[in-house]
Amino acid sequence: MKVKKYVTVKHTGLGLHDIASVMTKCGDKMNHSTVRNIINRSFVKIAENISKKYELNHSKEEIFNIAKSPDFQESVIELLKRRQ
Amino acid sequence: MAAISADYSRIIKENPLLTKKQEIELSRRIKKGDELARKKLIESNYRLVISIAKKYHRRDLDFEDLLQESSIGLLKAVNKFDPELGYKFSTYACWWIKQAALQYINENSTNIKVPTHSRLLNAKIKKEITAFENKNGRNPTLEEISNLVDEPVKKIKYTLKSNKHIASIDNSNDESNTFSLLNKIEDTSEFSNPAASLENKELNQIVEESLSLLTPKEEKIIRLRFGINDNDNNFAKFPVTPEMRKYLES
Repeated sequence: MKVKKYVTVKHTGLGLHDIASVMTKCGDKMNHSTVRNIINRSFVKIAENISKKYELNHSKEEIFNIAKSPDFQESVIELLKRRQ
Repeated sequence: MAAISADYSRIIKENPLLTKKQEIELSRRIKKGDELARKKLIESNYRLVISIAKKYHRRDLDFEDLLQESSIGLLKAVNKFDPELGYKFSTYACWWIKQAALQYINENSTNIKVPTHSRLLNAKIKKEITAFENKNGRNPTLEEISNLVDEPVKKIKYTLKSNKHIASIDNSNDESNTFSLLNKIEDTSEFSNPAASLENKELNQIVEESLSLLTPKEEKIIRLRFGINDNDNNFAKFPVTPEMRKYLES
């Protein structure tokens, strides 16, 4: 089965292409795939840290699946909103 | 079932029903100011008060109080009864007793007092709705109710709204008063489950810590992606696609 590279989470922000344009204009040249990879990597980083703190010893694949799950992403977004 | 107190039982036992002749004689004596005759007529008709109060008694009302209020109706009837008109005392008194009982029910059945005319209209509406449902097998619309009771839709709406049943969260359903509605509401405060609360706090702390691992660039991209920071939502200065701008401005 083909592995999905995108996750659908309800949001009111920008699309990947638009973010790429914004970042390029701000000095970080990138395309939409890079934006997607950075988003995925960020969630993986968070999931990895949580797994490590709880000593759950998840495999890389498991962590990637957790990071991709909409529930996890929504929780992280909720916390980011509170940090504003 | 409503229980009658020992005092009422004793009065009823000691005072058998009066004949029409006795009633007229007592009433004539009352007119002349005889207090003993007044007492006798009142006590002999307590049976009628109990009988009417039982008919009007509901679970949410105190029977003793209803009996007391109905007795006030009996006192009014004794004061106003005219024996020369030829009617039996009970015929006259039952209307006063019913009036007193209904007034008590109206004032005490709900926490908010509803005018009697509104309560009566509500009863009429309910009756018409039941009849309509039995006949047509569906609920009537407001317009149909309006036609049935011959009142404007606005008044029907207002009446139904004002006659809704109100329950206090301190009231209990059982006789022992152990479980009030308040006890059935879930306590969502952190004191209800300290262990879970502590666990949540710990998790929040770990996630917060994990969020600080993100580089400023990563955080900025996530914020842009999920529209988190209000300052970043000033899209005018960013080269967003025309479709996206249209969507964001809509």
